[in-house]
Amino acid sequence: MSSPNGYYAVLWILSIMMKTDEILIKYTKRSVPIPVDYRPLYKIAQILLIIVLCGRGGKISLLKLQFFIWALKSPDNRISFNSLVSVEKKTSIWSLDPTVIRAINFGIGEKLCERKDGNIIVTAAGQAFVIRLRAAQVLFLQTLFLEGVGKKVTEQKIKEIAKDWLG
Amino acid sequence: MLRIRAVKLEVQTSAGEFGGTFEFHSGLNIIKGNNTSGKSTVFQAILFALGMEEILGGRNAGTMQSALRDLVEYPADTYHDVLESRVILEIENRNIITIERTIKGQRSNKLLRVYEGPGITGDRDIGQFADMWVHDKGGAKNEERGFHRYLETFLGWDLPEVTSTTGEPVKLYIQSVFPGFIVEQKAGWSDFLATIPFFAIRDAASHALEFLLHLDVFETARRRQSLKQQRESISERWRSSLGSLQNLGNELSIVVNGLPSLPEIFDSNRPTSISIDVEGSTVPLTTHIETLRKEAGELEKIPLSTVGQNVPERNTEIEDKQRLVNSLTIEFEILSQKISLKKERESLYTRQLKAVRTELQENKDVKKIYDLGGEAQLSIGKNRCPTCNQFVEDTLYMQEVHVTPMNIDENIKYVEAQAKMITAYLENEQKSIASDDAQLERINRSLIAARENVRNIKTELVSATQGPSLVDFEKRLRLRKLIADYSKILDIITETITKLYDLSDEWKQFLAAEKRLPKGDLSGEDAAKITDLEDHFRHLLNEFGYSSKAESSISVSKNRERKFLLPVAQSDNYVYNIRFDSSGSDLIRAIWAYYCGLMEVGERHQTNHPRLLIFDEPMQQDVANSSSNSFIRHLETYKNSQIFVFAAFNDSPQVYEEITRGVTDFHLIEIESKTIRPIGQTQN
Repeated sequence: MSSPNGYYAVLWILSIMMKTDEILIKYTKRSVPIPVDYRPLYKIAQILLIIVLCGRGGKISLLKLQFFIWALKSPDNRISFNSLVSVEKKTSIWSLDPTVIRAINFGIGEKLCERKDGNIIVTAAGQAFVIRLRAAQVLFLQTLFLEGVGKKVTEQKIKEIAKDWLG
Repeated sequence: MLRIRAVKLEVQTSAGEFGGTFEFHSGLNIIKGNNTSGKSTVFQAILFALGMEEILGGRNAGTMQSALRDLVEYPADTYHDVLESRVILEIENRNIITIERTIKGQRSNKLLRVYEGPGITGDRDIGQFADMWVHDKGGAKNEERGFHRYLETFLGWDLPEVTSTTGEPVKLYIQSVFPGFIVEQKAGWSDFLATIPFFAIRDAASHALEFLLHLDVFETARRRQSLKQQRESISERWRSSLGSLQNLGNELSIVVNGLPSLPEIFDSNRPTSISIDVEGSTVPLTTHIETLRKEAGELEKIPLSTVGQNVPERNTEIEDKQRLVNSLTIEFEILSQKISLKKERESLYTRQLKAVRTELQENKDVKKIYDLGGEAQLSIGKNRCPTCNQFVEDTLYMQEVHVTPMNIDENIKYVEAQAKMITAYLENEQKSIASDDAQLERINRSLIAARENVRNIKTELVSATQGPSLVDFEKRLRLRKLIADYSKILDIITETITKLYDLSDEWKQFLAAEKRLPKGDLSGEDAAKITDLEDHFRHLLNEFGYSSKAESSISVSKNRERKFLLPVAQSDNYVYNIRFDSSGSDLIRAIWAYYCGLMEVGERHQTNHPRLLIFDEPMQQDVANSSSNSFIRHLETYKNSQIFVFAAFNDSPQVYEEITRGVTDFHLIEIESKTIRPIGQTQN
């Protein structure tokens, strides 16, 4: 009974049973825990770090960004990432994350990044925020990983990898 | 106590021997002379002869005036080269000694020659001498031939150990303590104990003051630390004694009751029991041993049976024993499986705990990121859309999904609660596994014994009928062994309990010692001394005309972490040095008041103060003559101490008259022109 109609049905039945027209129910809507991945600022922080550490000239294509976001999701993904970008291409499957778009929109709203010609570009304010993030050593392992990869994975390479299964 | 009886300057020049001798008395000594007269030379020479020239900001002869090193000017505008020079100082505590130190000459100026006896006021060369060293990196600083070590003993001081800035223990340098009663002209009037030389000691000024006031804090801190170690040691040994008993319990079903799990006062008046689980019921171990002994005794009375006699018995026996082996084997299997399942659950919980802990760490990271976002003034963390400013939930879910997300702090608490819960399950499971393992071990042992029994019976059944019954024999042997084993264990347990009694005695002593420790860092006596200092200080601030702040707003810091023992004022939660609120001349008054107050604490309490005060040019910052007069009058009252005031009085007889008005009981040394003059001419 998660839709509003279900509640009304219960109330209607109750009103008949109790022979009354008014039923007062006190209802506390419980808040739910959210996976870290779904926190807007967390995702924006990841996006900005990726652009600054792995994007050429402070910008990155949406596709390359998605690839890196996927890599950061777990240690296993990072291993698959390494095998995908190395010379011996093994077929691992990687996925696109629908929340990335939403996060980018937030980022644009906060003036931390911009969209231009299909690329995401980091702004000066975004750069400043990245400096804060790195000084505070948040996302430590993820940052280490990104620093290790650096600018080695080019847009060209991404297109090649994606060709395999995006056609 | 430290009395400076006399100082002598000897300078050999190209034009003959020059110098000056000055004798001092108890009570107030005023050394008056204009700025070029060399009264500073006298002050510096005294410090030099005590190896304290670091207070002047340097080491060795470099700190001395050029008149003692290069050129002597006498009379005015006539200069002579200095060939050799040295200073001689006569001081007194319980005995009198004379110290000689070369400024320029053959002998190293790191060497101080110490004579017994009054070498200036009395006869020279009357006693032994010893050569000692200062600033000697070779380590003689604190050993037998180190002068500072000698001086420390001479003054009857025992300098404590403090912490260096690198965290190592180091003895408090005696040069850090002297600025507590000597104020030097150039830098000494800028702050309280301003001229402590840098020795990489944390809070050097506070430590110097702690020592001068002879506070218990060091001792207290040391005792507290040692008590802490004692507590840990007793607890550790208690735990390990109990631990060894615990193992017995697991293996042999022996339980000892009545033992406290943590150190307590515990003696033979407290009931304890040692019992063993025999086939489901608990019996005292002593009783069980007795039972076994009786059994063994009965058996011994019967001669060993032969095989033939026992055959029918053995047949039923073997059936029974075989059944026992079977049932034990099944029990063993079932329990093993149970344990396997539990272990699987355990590893599942372990994996889950790891995942939750990772999530917790990630959430903490998120919190940091949101805090940084707040610092950078981003709107997202505050649930506001950055463009339209509407309310927006803190998730990346599609708008159609109606959830109320927890905020980060709630989320962290939630995950922490999960971690706690899983940890509890995990620990529970582990405990359960441990007890099952112990049970399995017991079953195994029984199984082994039963199997052996069966083997023996089988052997017997096939052996000669006249031969002795192996089974019977085995039974008697086993019984005897059991009795011996249990008796030994009983002894071990009793020994352990005795050990606990001993530990309990130690614990009693520890508790008594802990009670004697003062509650805070400061003992009652310490608090009294600090209050005394504060009272004297405030009273003198008033007397000397301090007006920048009300005396009641000034206190002496009792906080060991913040400017301990120094004069402070408080604003909100911030404690600060009063020099920031005081006018220039008021800071001077405050320094007078503080140094005097420090010495006055010694009137009613035991301190390490040498009852000596030396002020080099105390009339600074245009402080009013009336205040200076109050100061000098007050100094006059210290009949049982020794006070030095080196001052120029603005080179004005009127100023001198004003400042010393009403002061009669003091010793005046006037230095008319040059301090250093040909030997033969007298000083007054």
